[in-house]
Amino acid sequence: MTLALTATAGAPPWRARGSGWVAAVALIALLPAAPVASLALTSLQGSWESWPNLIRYVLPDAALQSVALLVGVGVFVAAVGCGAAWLVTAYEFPGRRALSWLLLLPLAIPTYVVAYAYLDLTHPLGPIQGAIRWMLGYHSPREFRLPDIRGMTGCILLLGLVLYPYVYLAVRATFLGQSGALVEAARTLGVSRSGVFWRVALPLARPAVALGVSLALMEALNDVGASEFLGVKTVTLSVYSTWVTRSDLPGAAQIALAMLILVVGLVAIERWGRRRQRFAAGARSARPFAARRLTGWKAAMALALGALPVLFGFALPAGHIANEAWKRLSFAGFSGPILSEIGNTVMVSAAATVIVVALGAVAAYAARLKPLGASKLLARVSTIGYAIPGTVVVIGLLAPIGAIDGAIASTGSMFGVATGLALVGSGAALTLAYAVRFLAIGVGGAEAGLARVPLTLDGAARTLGDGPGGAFLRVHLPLAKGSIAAAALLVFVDVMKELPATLLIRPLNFETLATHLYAEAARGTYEDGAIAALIIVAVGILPVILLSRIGEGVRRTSESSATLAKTR
Amino acid sequence: MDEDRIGSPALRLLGVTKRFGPNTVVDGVSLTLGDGEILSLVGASGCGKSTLLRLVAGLEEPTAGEIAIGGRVVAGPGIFVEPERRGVGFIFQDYALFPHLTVAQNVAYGLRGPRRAEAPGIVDEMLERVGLPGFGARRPHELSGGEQQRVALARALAPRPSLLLLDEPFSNLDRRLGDRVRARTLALLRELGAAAILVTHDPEEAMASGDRVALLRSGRLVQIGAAEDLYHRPVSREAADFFAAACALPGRRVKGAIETPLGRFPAPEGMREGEAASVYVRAGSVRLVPAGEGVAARLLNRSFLGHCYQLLLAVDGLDEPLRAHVGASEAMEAGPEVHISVNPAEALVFPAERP
Repeated sequence: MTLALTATAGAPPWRARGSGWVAAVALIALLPAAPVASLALTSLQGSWESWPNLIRYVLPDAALQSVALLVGVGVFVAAVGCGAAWLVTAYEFPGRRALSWLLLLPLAIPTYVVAYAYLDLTHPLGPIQGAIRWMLGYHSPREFRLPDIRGMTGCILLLGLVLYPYVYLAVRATFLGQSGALVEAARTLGVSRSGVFWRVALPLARPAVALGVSLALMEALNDVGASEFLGVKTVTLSVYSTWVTRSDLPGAAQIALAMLILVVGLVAIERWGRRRQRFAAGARSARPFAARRLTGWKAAMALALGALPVLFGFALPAGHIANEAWKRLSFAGFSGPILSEIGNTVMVSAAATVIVVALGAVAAYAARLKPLGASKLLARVSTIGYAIPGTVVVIGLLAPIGAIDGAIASTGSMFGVATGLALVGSGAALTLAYAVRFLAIGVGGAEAGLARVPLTLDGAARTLGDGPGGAFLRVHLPLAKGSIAAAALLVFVDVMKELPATLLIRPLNFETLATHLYAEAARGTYEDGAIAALIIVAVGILPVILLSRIGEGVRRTSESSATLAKTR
Repeated sequence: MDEDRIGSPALRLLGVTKRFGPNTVVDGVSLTLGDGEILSLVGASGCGKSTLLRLVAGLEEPTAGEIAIGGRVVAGPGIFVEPERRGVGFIFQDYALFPHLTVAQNVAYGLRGPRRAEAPGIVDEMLERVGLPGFGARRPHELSGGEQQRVALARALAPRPSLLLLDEPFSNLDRRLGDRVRARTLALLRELGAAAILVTHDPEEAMASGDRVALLRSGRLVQIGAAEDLYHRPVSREAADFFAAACALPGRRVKGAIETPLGRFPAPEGMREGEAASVYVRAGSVRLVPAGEGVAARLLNRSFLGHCYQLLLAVDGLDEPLRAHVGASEAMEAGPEVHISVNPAEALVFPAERP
């Protein structure tokens, strides 16, 4: 017994070490939980007299607009996404292979950029209406003009055009994974070729559709720029303007809290889809079903049909932006501000990426170490941030950050140092907001990477003398680095594109490419924002290339692309 | 136990129990492993044998009980030594070679302290010992299954563990290759004098490999001892069933002996008169006898097994056909009606299971 005691005295009791990992995950999980809790607290401080007013006048209208927008975008992305996925998996025609990844390109265009581009494109004096008038022989906008793109219909169309790839990606993966035997069984049971789509493929893909739609709608709910430019007063926008124009933080918090109901609904749909999708994907076989070869005018039709979303979702807006940027560059060259904006954007994106990837790896690895403990649950909690719109995250963060900044300032003044707003002013608050919002990408990327490392490798490393940390550095990190690097790229690009959070909590006079674009569009000086828009779109193409490369390996597509898509 | 005299046993388990939620996977297992002893841990899949191995390695924490390695308590009330501090080698069923490292880097992985500096020499020596000289620069995926198994062995033995745990290490190899690799592995273990536990679901492998065999069933240790003991003197019908498939004859104690359709067998102690019993008869214990002796049986089927013939026989009073393993000449002579007898000493008698 004495032997035993001396033997164990040197080693810390396992409980202390295990709980270290759990504590780390708990802290990480606090990140997204804190703003939600603070929202509740902040909204309690607000005047309760404003609630009846809010409920009677502000919320119903905004909620109605938001719900209409979500329903419209949902229907649009489901139809276009499923149709496009079926087209490129069930049929074989010249150009199909290129089309199958070109269809992903609209993902590269943020909602506010597509709105910005189309507002300029469809301006009565813009190129599209001009071309139509020229063809029809009219001379002035007074004689002929298209209906204004501003409004609910335009907003639904534009958001749908850049968000349908979420559905396309998830559904295509399911179609590719579906067993050829199932289709053949259906055909021998008397189902026609087109019947296969409605009676076999689509019902099996239902979870994937739910997953894709919920992801697209989370993005739609996050949007501030497009709906503002297009004059659709959504709940998100009313949170934003309650704070920005009326400086009424409790009021904004109250609306944001109400908005969480929508978020919870979307998360519920997403979780359902994810769970069912795993189930559906389990039954796949080695042989995917054979695509039907199209020739002649049918092939041309298929190609033209499939090219429509690419044309309107990417080629037209991106081409216009590139053209405007080129004009601007050849006229004025690279202006000074844009260089500093690029620097700012890269700086905050890189900082947030490092934080998110590190925290994500810790959370995912802790969940692996203690699968039966609380870690798994906590790791899950830490991923809810992506569903919460950036506006809501920031409104939730403002109160605690303001309190901390206030404390720092008063401590500083005691020592005669003017600190200003330490967290907000230094950009730390902005980085924190990004970390909350995109933590899920870091966790998801690390989880996907770790999932490919067999559990016996953990045991091998441990019995060969490595502690949990050593095993992570020597085994897990080298094996999961591909997935983690992919997650890093996604975080970087998403932070770079993020508009609402940046607008709300950036330091004074701190401009990123996204805020610059927003400011130009708000002023109506579209052409000045073209360079910023072009850079955003160009960088946004990187993760699309990543997604399309993963899409080529059919086997792992379903999980990987779901993870990547979730995380986007 | 004998091992206590030698000093600290290589491994001592006392009432080791592991529960996952409501399921008790390992249930109060106690056993002792002597220095350099090789123990076969055998049982049907899901009996808890792999979990027991993981408990010893520290990859799971026991719910109750105590584990001591080389006299040092590594798990018990308030004590848990992490796997990396137990000095135990583990060979996994899938070998768990690190795919991003070369064979040499895999073998060198567990070398620490002063031995780290001598890694190249140790790696060469270990690869030599397992019969893979010059394989150091290869990657695990370039190796065959048998070669991967040997790299895993070299890697586990390189840090000189006092105890080696092998979790079904030959089950992924085909029979012939598995036999060869097992013989080589056991020879190496004997040479190095390492104590080892070999987990397997294959009774023949268990009997052929270990100094002793431990039979696990539903998380409980059913019997532990020399292979011959387990085979010839199983403590229960499950143990009897596991090591050699046998036919159960229903019987009843009548006048001091168990009466069955195949004759009378000695009654075990403690059985009351009139109590029901099951008599297990292995195929090798059934003999053909000249007509007039033994019991009459009808030949249902004759099949060739290689080393003998198997006859399926219908006997009055038995629900299932009886199997008999006999030589070629006997098998060929057997007509549709045969007579059989069973040597009473070779039969295993147990009280019948009460419902």
